[in-house]
Amino acid sequence: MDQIQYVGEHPIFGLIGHGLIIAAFVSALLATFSYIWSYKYRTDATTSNQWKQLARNSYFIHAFSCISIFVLLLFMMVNSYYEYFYVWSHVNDKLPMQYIFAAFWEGQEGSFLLWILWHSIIGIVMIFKTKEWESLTLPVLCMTQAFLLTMIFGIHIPLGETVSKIGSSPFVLLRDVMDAPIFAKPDYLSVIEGRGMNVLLQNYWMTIHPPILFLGFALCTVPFSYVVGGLISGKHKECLKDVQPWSLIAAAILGLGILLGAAWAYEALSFNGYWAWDPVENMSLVPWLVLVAGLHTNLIANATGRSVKSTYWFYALAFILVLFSTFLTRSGVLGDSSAHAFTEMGLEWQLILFFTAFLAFFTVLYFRKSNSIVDVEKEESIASREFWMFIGSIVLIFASILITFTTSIPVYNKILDFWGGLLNINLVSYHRSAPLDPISHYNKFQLWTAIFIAILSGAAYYLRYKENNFAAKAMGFWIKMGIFAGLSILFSWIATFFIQLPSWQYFLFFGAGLFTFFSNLFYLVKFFRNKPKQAGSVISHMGFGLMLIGIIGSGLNKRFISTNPFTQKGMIADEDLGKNVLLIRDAPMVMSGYEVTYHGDTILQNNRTFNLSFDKLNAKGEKVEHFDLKPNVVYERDFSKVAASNPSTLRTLKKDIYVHIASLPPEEINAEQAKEKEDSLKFNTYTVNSNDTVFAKKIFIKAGKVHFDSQNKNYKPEQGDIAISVDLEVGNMKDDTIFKVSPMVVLRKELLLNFGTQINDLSTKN
Amino acid sequence: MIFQQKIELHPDIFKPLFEKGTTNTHQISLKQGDEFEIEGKKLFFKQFKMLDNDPKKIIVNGIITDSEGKIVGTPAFEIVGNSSRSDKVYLSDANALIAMTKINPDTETASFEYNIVKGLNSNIPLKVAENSTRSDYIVLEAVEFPGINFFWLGSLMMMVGLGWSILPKLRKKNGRNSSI
Repeated sequence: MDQIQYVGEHPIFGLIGHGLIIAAFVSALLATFSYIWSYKYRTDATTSNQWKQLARNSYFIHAFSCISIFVLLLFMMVNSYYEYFYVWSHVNDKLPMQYIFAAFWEGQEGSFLLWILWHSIIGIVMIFKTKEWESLTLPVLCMTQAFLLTMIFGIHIPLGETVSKIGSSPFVLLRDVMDAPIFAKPDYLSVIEGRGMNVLLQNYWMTIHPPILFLGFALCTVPFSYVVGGLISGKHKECLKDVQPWSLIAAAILGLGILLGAAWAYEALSFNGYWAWDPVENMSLVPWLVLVAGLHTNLIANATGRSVKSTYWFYALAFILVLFSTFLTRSGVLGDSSAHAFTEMGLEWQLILFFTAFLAFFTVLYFRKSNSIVDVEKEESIASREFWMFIGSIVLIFASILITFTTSIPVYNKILDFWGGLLNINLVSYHRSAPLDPISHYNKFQLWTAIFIAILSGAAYYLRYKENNFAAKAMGFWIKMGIFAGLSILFSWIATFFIQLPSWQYFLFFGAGLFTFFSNLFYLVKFFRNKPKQAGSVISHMGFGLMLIGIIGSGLNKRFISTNPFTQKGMIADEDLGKNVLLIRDAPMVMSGYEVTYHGDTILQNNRTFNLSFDKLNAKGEKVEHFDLKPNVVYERDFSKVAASNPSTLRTLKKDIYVHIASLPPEEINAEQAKEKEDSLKFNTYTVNSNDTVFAKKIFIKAGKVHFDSQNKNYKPEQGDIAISVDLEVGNMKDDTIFKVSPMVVLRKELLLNFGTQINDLSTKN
Repeated sequence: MIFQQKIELHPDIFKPLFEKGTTNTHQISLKQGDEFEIEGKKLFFKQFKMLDNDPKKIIVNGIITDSEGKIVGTPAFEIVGNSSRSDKVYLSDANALIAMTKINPDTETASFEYNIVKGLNSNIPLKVAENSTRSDYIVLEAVEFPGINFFWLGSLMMMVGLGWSILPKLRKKNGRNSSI
């Protein structure tokens, strides 16, 4: 095949891409070692500066290479260079250009590149902002980049009968990946089109959520870099002061990325809510929780000199957990347990090496260097702010451990299988099972985490750092706590008139949310009224309180309004009676105080949108409010089956009403079932004269006029068509129901198009 | 009882169109108000009627009536850009399939073509399946989320607060210079 001169290929771009990956990798290593030497010779300013200059130049080459890889691949995707496997896999001619970025990071290689791009930019900012920390922090970032770049190497090493793979390159040719007869044709590009992007991901959330999330992941590298720098230099106090803004921005951006994911799940995916405790969601939340724990111990360290070690560990773990999360979501290990993890690509050992290398590096470094951390000998008071902030951080870490433990169940099973394979023992019976109902499993534990954190974040503000005379202020403290607790209980009790708080635990959860809200609001008004720049933390804690209130409202009080068991019994499965209704076109159905009518649907490309009207009814059954909702389903590109059902939501200040299509007639869900239905129909043939009547088994048919013009709205006439339709009146022999229909048949050259008519009686109950 | 049927026209319905003699096309040119005869049935070309409901194409109907003035068919002539199309109409009383193939507004004349098609009104073949299930429904799930805006507002405030907290740190950092 190598002898064939292919027409229309652009091999130069692939070569440039591979060259840029190598250049980026080599320059990252060079920058790493030059920075290390720059620090090593720090006492000799001239030598140190020479190494630093070399390191900077290397880094700029590295950043330029990384940005160029990104731009080059984007250019190839925009220009549909289908000879490249990655381009072919994620782009086709039908892809709207607004989704080109989403298509870019849809695949493993593209999302690694996104992460690499953010690191490159962050590195440039660090060169200008980290000042004296530059030589200590940049090597960590550069080594992370080097590891990430190996993920897009695409090197295959033959090892005996198997081939070991280092990375997966986005610049590999389609004909090098696939073995197909078409590649014997020199002009194969003229007859192929890209497979294109997954239709489910063609939405604006896919454009904005991954870049924010990956920026958050990339920013988690910075606190880790500082921690390494702090341990090596022994300048712990300075390190923890300088790292804090980076940690704050990392937590804010990563949190925003997670929040956008939640909003996507709520708005576009049928998760039936914003958080489903999906493993991929969990593993983006855990690094954030650990980072937030680190932020709080960082505050303690800056104020009191305590918790330096725990801060180092929490920041390091936040970064390592990002890498662990990368392993979980990209190795294919979660394939069966998550709706949106990547499939296996043969990179699992490389991903394991990635996070274990950094974990091992940090562990060794910590135990070699942490003896320079001076412990504060005097024990902190139980009534001090730092004590309770530390307890809060531990609670966050404990929550993270619980989440990680359950989310990692597929990993334990894989480890067992691995050892079983080595020892030739079947260890499948030792496999652990993931929780059948993950939402209630996680909620059961995390409910208490939230209560503890809410109470602590409400109370700790009124305690002082290094408190040594709490007794003098105890009365004032307890009075304030009493007032906030009293207000919380009062408002929680009032809330029970509007929402359900079915057990004391939920009452406590709701009350804890109110407690931290009131407590922080008071603090904001009393102490930060004239210092708004310092109000960030109280705003965060007030937000946390409101979030808990929202969780109780929207989670515990979430209510299926699509229910009318009396009317629907027999129409849908008994187990769905409490949450689904079957709506027949143009037949209004009453459900939970609403009259809903399904008016039909429209199809645009692969989207089928359903038109629903809702009328809210008062106690007398009168219509008092009207609104329309338009949920849709997305079909696969070839319309072979429904790929996804997307909700439509009415937003109001007090509540949202969220609807989605739970099911369709089987023949409209997939083509196979449509064929099965067509094959199962038992047709009998009858003949009838115009203005005459014929009797079938259960019905009679009276024929009317014969038409040669187009009567059917689904028929699009073409030149040369012969279309015949007949007006029929169809009656049921057991009652007086008469349906007027006009079946139609079209002869288009040798093709026969049959527009038969389905008659459906509204009285569907037996 | 569930009353659900699928009714189709059997392809044999096209048979009369291809019977011997039916493919002989007759041509006729008529002015508005002209009388003509097909298979002994007296008919009138009453008038043109231009439809103006579609701005992208011109549609002209030719109105044909019987001797009592009752409309028996309205063959349409459609012009889209440079091309034209004629719909055939079945005149059941005259057993004829007629189409308006050309129009001349200046002379108020139109050209028609017709075939004699016998038997289209008799023995119309139908295929009826009485075991067909309905397909005009959806199964809907609707959920009410009370107070969800507290969740969005609260979580957004958490992130904004985190970002906001950088402000005083940056100010302090700019004023300090430590050495490693």
